[in-house]
Amino acid sequence: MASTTHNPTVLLKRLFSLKDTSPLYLIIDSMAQTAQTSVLHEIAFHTKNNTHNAKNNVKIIYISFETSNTPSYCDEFIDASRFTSTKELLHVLNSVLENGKKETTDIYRILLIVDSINYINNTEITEFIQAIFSPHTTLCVVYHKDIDENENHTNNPLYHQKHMQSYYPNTLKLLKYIATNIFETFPNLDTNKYVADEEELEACLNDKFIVPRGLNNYQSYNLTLTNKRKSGRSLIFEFVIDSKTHSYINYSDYVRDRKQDRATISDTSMNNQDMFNGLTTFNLNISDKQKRAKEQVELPYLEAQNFNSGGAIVYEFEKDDDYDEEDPYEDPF
Amino acid sequence: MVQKQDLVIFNDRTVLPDFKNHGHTLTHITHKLGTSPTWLLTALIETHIHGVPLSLNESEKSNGKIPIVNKSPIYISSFIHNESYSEQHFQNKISPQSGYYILPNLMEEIMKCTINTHNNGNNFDGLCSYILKMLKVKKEEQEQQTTIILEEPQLLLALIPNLKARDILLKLITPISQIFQRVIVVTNIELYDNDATAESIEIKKFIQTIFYRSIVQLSLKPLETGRANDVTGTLRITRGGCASAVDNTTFVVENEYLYHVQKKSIKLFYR
Repeated sequence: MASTTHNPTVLLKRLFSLKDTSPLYLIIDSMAQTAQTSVLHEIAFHTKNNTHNAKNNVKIIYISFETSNTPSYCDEFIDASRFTSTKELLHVLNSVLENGKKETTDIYRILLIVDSINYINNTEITEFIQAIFSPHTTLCVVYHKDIDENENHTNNPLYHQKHMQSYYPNTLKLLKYIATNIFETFPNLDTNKYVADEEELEACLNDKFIVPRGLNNYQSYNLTLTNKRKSGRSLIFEFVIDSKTHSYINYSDYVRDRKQDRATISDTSMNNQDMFNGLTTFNLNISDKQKRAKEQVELPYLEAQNFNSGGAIVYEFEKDDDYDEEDPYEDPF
Repeated sequence: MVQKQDLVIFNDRTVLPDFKNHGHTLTHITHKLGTSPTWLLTALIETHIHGVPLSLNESEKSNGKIPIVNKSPIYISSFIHNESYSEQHFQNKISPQSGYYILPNLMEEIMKCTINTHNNGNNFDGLCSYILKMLKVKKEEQEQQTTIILEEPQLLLALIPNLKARDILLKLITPISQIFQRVIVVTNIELYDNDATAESIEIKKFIQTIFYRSIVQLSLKPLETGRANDVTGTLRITRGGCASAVDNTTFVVENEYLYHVQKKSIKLFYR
């Protein structure tokens, strides 16, 4: 099968460098790992440094709702905050796209980056995307999943009553349906010593607004890629990315490597089974089954080390103990 | 003797983002009821004017001879404190001639504008243009390296009915960050409850979006273990959502400090 023989890393690089025609990239980020500190740099790096295809001359247009700074990689910067409506923005955008096509004939593709699609109303999303779609344009939109207007409001009973009749899908669902490639960023919690797990991270960010350290680390973060094939099939790949060296590792390989690293560190003495070979005529090694059984043996006094019991006194009566069951004051505890 | 450490936010041992390297920046300060950020704001004002936070760790005595490194002023505008409060507080620590300006309480200005123009908040664009006009009058055109401190702008969400966080961000915060090179937004993270009311949702959304726009987040919170005589709270420095260190030589150094606010001095030490 084509998918099983596919190299996910090659596919990711092809997508980052816009080698494959794809009308809509959706980047789903969160406060823990924003697109600004991760994927956008990778896309810009590969798009600008792609030397394999000389024709692949890409113009990057950056539509900004969030920043006043022009990113170093963009060719044209549009401040979207100055427009009062999406229609006004689209009008300007279409004229910029038309001019871009006329100006230079050697431009092979236009990459439009929207730094936050959350600012566009849910009901205008399809209109916005449809107006930009063209064979030579790739739209790359960033969606902050923490700030989902619809999801938030559906928790509100008042909102629910008011909008009971509305079955229109929320922005994320719409975008996921339309997008051809979905990139979702996550922090790499394996290397973060300040956050124990995702549950703790969620509580810190969304409930308490206390941002833990070690997040938005561009040198190690996780990326889930959903690649929608023309056949309609979706392939999902997970990567660990370092944006400093632009290296991509399959998450499964990464986990395996980490396990091996841990094993080599902790079991350097235990794992040397070969050292027993040739020493004696006896077999000093143990099989995997024996090893598993050995690990399952409950050692004595393990219960005593468990502090959850609340400090109960374990007292066993001996035969010489004089104990009157009917006397309440005789309780030895 | 207790060890004290200097406040360092960036890897080049600076406290505020560099104008040349970072362009327009937003710094986000979050605090709780028990941990007022006024001491931190004083330190940041001093850093803007003198290059170093003088009031921290009794680093240098402010006897009026410390050179002024940045001649562009820093503006303090608050939605919560009135002018006299800010003047009283900051004048105790920093000389009024140093180059900082306390703007009138923006909430009061909005109320005045509302009364004068019979604008009951429906025309939020009008209110924003009024505030921006006021800020532009104070700031001179040629001034480049300016900083503004905005205290609790999210209070507008509670004041004006049906106002969305998006409106404040697009119509007020973005234009302000285009006028001033450095914007410091101070928000109280206890002002909202998870009660799913429209105001709470919008306040939460506002704080989250400010995080996405910020280069660095400074979080002040009390001790988790309770009260202590020699510690007021903790200051945590974390990267913001816009902290692009990939192609930048200066980047945020994440750290956590314990701090102790006393009558005459503020002490910082690593956690």
